[in-house]
Amino acid sequence: MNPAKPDSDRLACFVCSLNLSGMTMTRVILWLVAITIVSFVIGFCLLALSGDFHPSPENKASPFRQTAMFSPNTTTIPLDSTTAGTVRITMGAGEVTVRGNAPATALMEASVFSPAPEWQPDLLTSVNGSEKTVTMTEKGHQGKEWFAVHSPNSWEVRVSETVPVNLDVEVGAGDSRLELGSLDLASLVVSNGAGDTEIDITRYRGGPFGAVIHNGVGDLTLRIDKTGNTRILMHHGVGDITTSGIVQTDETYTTAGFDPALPVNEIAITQGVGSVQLEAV
Amino acid sequence: MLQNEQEYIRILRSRLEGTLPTDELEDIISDYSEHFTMGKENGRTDGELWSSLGSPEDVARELRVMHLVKKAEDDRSCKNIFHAVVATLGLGLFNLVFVLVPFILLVVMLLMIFVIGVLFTVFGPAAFVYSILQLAGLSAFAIWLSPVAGLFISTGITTSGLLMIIGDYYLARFFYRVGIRYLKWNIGVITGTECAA
Repeated sequence: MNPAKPDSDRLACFVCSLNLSGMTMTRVILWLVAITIVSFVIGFCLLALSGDFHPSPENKASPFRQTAMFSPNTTTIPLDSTTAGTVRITMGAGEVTVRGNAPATALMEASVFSPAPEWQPDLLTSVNGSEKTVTMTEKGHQGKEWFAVHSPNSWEVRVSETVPVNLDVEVGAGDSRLELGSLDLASLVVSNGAGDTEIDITRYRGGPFGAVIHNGVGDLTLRIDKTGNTRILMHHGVGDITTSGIVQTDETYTTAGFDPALPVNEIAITQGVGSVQLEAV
Repeated sequence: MLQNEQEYIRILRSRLEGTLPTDELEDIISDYSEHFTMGKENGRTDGELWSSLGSPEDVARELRVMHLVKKAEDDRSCKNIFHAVVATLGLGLFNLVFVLVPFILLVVMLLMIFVIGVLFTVFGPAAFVYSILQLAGLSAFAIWLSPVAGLFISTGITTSGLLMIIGDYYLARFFYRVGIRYLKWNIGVITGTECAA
């Protein structure tokens, strides 16, 4: 009996007879094994050299980050018995959002969405009399930087609406969004090296404040309350300035009905390169 | 029930029709008819010959299993080995443990290796692209501890996925051969004969 050649044998013959530029299946397998071994060896050697790879019983020997992106690390700084606060935020690269709506008994609540646990910021607090100061600083990547690349952090900071707050936000590179209309600002300092900055102080009902805004490269959008008594002093480099509901006098911009005799919200803007949009809403 | 030659042949034929090729079936029927003829020439009764041959249902079952195992051996395919295994189960309840369980475990193992291989083969190139994006600072998340290392490790993941798929193919062929031998041995143990259908 001479049975017909079975399908599987035909497939096997086909696979075995594969001749890719003179390569038999055995050679293909050997090449794959070699590439696999070499790739893994080089990859994990690079990881070891970069200082990022620390397998231990606590940390799995994985080349992947144990990402914290989907589970933000939230920290609440209580007011305790203080009646004023200073919040200083210093971020190297990433996105920062600051708004009100912190819990009633908290000076600040910060949610950190960081792709790397080791990039969690340092949070320092101090109390001076009735004022509490919180400093939130990105400590940066502790390992060698040969091969590791920073990926943007994202911080969401909620500040107390019940006590006057000095707010200082400094971002090296990245976008900043500040929604401060519900806060009681004592002072405001915003500094952004490169990136877009958006500051919204509409519906502001707090006390008068002084603000200094430095924006290096990037667009700046500032929205203020049209009923507020606000004066803006602008030092502008390269880029357009567009206004809406604002009265311009040389480098000074004021809200309609501005009265210097009344308490004034003074805002000084230094803009390097990029457009500026001022809106009184 | 009458235990004569005609009844024996009728049952045997009805049980084997549709499974065995006609010529093979006729050969078998002819053999059994001849056995009855020779037996009766030697003075034995139909009942005695029936008893000595065993019930036609059991004989048909064994012949069917041997045929399906031989078919699976000659023509390797998932369908044929499945039919052979299912037919072997009919030889005895204990084959649920000695044939079906190992068969299912093997199938699951081969399937898992194949699925993991496919996943690696798909994930590897995706991770390779992602490490380039991370290197260029275009990725939203830093999945790699080191994107340069990621380039190499994702290459390794891809090739190991391909190796798994290829290895799974050869593993399946190996277990197919071993499985056929095991089924033959199993049939031999149960029927007390060598399976050489």
